[in-house]
Amino acid sequence: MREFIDLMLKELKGDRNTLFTLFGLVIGFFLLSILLRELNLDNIYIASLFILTLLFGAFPLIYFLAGYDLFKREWKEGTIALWSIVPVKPWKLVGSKITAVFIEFLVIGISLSTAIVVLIWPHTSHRAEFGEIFISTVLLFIQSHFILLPLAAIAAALYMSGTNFAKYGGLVRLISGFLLLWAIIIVERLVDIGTMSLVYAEVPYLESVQINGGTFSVAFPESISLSLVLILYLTGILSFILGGKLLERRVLP
Amino acid sequence: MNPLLEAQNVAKHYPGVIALDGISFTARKGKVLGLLGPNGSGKTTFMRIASGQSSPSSGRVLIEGELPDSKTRSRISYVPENNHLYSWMSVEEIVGFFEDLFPGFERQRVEELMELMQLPRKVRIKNLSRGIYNRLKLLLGICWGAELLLLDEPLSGVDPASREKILEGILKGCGEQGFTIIVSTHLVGEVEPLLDDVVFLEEGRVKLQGDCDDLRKQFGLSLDQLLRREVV
Repeated sequence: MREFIDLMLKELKGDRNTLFTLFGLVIGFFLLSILLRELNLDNIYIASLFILTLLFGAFPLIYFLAGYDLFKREWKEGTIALWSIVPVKPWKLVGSKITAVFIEFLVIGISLSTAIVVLIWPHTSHRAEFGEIFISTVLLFIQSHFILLPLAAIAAALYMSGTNFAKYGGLVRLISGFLLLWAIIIVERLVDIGTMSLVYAEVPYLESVQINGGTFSVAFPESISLSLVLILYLTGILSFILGGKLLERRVLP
Repeated sequence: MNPLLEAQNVAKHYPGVIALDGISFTARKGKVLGLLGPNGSGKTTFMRIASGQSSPSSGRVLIEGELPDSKTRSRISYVPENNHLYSWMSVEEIVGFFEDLFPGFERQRVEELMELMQLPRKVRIKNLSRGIYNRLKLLLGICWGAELLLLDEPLSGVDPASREKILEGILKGCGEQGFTIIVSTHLVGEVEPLLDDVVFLEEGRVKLQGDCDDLRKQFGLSLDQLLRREVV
């Protein structure tokens, strides 16, 4: 367990660029929004809020890219050679990296949720308590976060799948990615086992916010297909196992 | 004496390039073997195969009769020529990282070698000079109880003062721990005093191999002179 924690802490300390970039974006748009509000530039203020909220929607893509980058970075910097001498089980290497991404994005997500709530709360028509809105927003993010977690493992395994094909690696990854996406869509359509409510449905405070005559609306989905969540998790777990095997067979002796 | 490593007809082919063309030799336990040859002779390719980072196109490398796998991994310490340490870590942090992950890490010994090799503790790896970086790589390679040490071009791009420190570190590591060492280099003159056995490579083939003393007696030349005559 100590090895796992050490590896995870190493990952968190080392991957400062992604963390700082995303954190900087959140803080930057938060400060910009406040400035625009104070200057009574309502339309631009709404646009700024919109961009901030878009970050929320971009998390699936960010998750995927972060997972893909986990091993690509090691390859690029040559540090993958270090893994060939470290006497640690491959699943611990893969698991520690994915856990680090999870913690990193959790911190960013909570910051983003806080920024959005602080900006929007004064304009809500529901008169809900700040605490209630804040908690439901953070819970919404945490719930989305858990749903998206398998994407990091899938992306990491996709990268690993191309490591042994030299110049055709990119093509192998692209084809594997398309096949996987196609399989997920097909299975999701075939298996209908209902939907899972998102926390947002409980407090629909963001549906329409009035700002001095302008309207700011966010169309968060209220539910998600349960079969999609299950397929994502199943694929994520299989990818996690496959990633560990590929790392062991192709990279480590 | 039983060989710790045995290369049996090892070949490695890339599209349009034959990096290794069926080489065979053995590395004796507790001895230092020099894998010598000019650039592009296949030294690094062999080191990568021996460490398990690459597979041979044909032939095999055995570690005490076993193919390189997760079991042999804990017995081999591979120190590549290229940078393989996290550049954002400080010297102290990477030493701590190794200490946490390697059960056989010898802290006391590392402290002594850090003094001997004059390694700065607080400096980040990305800010180290080539010579000091190579000293650090060597230190981390010999500090956790591996039986076989694979050193790929440890003196490449290093100034003479640093070379002395690195050679001193190798000697200290080998003498006290009984390591089996395979050191690849094209700087034969520098490593010659360390070597027990030697394999000369040229264009992926073994040009000459044997016990260093025997070769010196047989040809009446130093290894450096012999390499220049036979290979370069």
